Parts: sequence; C-alpha cells; structure tokens
Amino acid sequence: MKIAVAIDGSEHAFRAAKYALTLLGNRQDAELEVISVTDYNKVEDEQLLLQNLKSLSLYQDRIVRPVVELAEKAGVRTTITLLRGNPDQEIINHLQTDDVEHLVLGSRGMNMMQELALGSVSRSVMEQANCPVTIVK
Amino acid sequence: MKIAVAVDGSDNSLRATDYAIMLMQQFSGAKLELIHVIDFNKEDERLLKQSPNSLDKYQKKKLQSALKLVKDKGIVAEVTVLQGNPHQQIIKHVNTNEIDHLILSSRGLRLLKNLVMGSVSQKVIKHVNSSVTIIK
Repeated sequence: MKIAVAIDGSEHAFRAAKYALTLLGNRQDAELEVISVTDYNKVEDEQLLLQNLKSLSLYQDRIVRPVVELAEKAGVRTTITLLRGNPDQEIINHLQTDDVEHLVLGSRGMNMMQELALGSVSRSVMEQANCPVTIVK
Repeated sequence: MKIAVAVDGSDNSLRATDYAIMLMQQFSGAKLELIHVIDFNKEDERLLKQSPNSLDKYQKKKLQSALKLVKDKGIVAEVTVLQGNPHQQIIKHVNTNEIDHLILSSRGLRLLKNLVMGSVSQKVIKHVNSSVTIIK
C-alpha cells in the first residue's frame, strides 16, 4: 500500500502525515510518499530561493525532514518527491504518473492553501485526483 | 474513534463503505455509523413522506447493501437516517456527534454539487470538524 501525503511545512500538513502513517499501520508493504511542491510564483521567499540552489535544497529539507523522521520512527519506508510549479496542478499530474493508492492532505497549509481562497488547492486536487483523497483537519 | 459513511445506495457509496471497513480493521475499538439523508426536495422522496410504511421500506432498500457488506465482516454499525438538505444534515450530524472521520463518495458529491452550483462539496469539507475522505 502506497500512500502519498502533500506537505508544506505547516502544522496541518504534519497532522496529515501523522494520519497517513496511522493508515499505513503495520502493513508489510507500507510506503509513504512525501510530496512537497515549491511554488515559485507564490511566495517571495520561494522566488528568492530559485537564485541559490543551496538555499533551495536547505529550504526543502526543512519542510520535508520532520515528516521523514516521523515515518522512520514508525518504521515506514519513505520516498520523497519534490516538485516545482503550481501546487495543485503538480500534485494532480504527479498522481497520474504514479501508483499512489491514496492521497492525504491537510485542510489548509501555510501559504499555498490559505492564500488561494481558503483551501482551493485541496479542492481542485480532490476533484481531479484519480485516487481516494483524505482531508485531515 | 468514530467513523461515519454517507450512504445513498449507489455503487460508489458501497466503495465508500468498503473503505470504512478497511479503516475499522485498522483502528481497533472504532465505531462505525452509516448515514443516509432523505431529501424531500427530490420528488420521489417527497412522495414517500406521505406513507410512513413506504418510507421505511425505501430507507431499508437504500441501506441494505451497505449494511450487508458491514455485517459480512462481523462489524456492528449504527444506522442514522436524516431528513432534509443532504449537506446541511451531514454537517450538522457530524459536528454534533463527535465523529472523527467522515467518508463520502464522489458521485454523492457531484449530486450535491448540482444543488447549489459548485461549492457544496467544499462546504461539507470546510464546515465539518472531522477529517474527510472522498472515494472516487
């Protein structure tokens, strides 16, 4: 069973990751895919990061690391997927090319979800994703 | 942990029920609740209102297959039948009954969507206090 969780470093996303791990439970074939999308159009910091590869990787690492550590503690195998561009579109496209069986999202994130008219990322992902989607509150 | 599934008798809602059963097996000690909302604004359902007997039969028919799925797995489910506007009733029920997780099927959502142009699925997700899973 492969579950993907989209994270952005927010508390909501962290809870979503926790939830995904409970879902995976003690399954033998459990795998957690951690997806983080860097949106260069959205936030000034992220745009600035584009200019410096090293700070970019540090930035992404900061977002992804807590979740990966949590998964390691739970003994679940993880893969990390870093995407760049429009968050919802990137997540939807990625799901279509991947064998993810379930997607877990936080109900609102730090920037991408909150700024875009309250959770419209989770909305369009929810509507267009081809697998079950869970929104964690 | 209390898990609720919105059931309307469709194949999609059966898949939602399947998913709920999977969750039940994952979380020991969890409770399952099947929710069915009768919408009296829909014509056939309004007709049913006139006879309690036929209403009762109609509800049983809608819930039967989901209940059977649940029983086959040896799970005891609580059944709740609500009347009125589906999304409002679901939101109210989930929020007043301390449900931790709500499972909806996407067809059901699209149906709701037709009622109020677009944002109803979003409405349920936004106003409900529990986590929500949408089954495709």
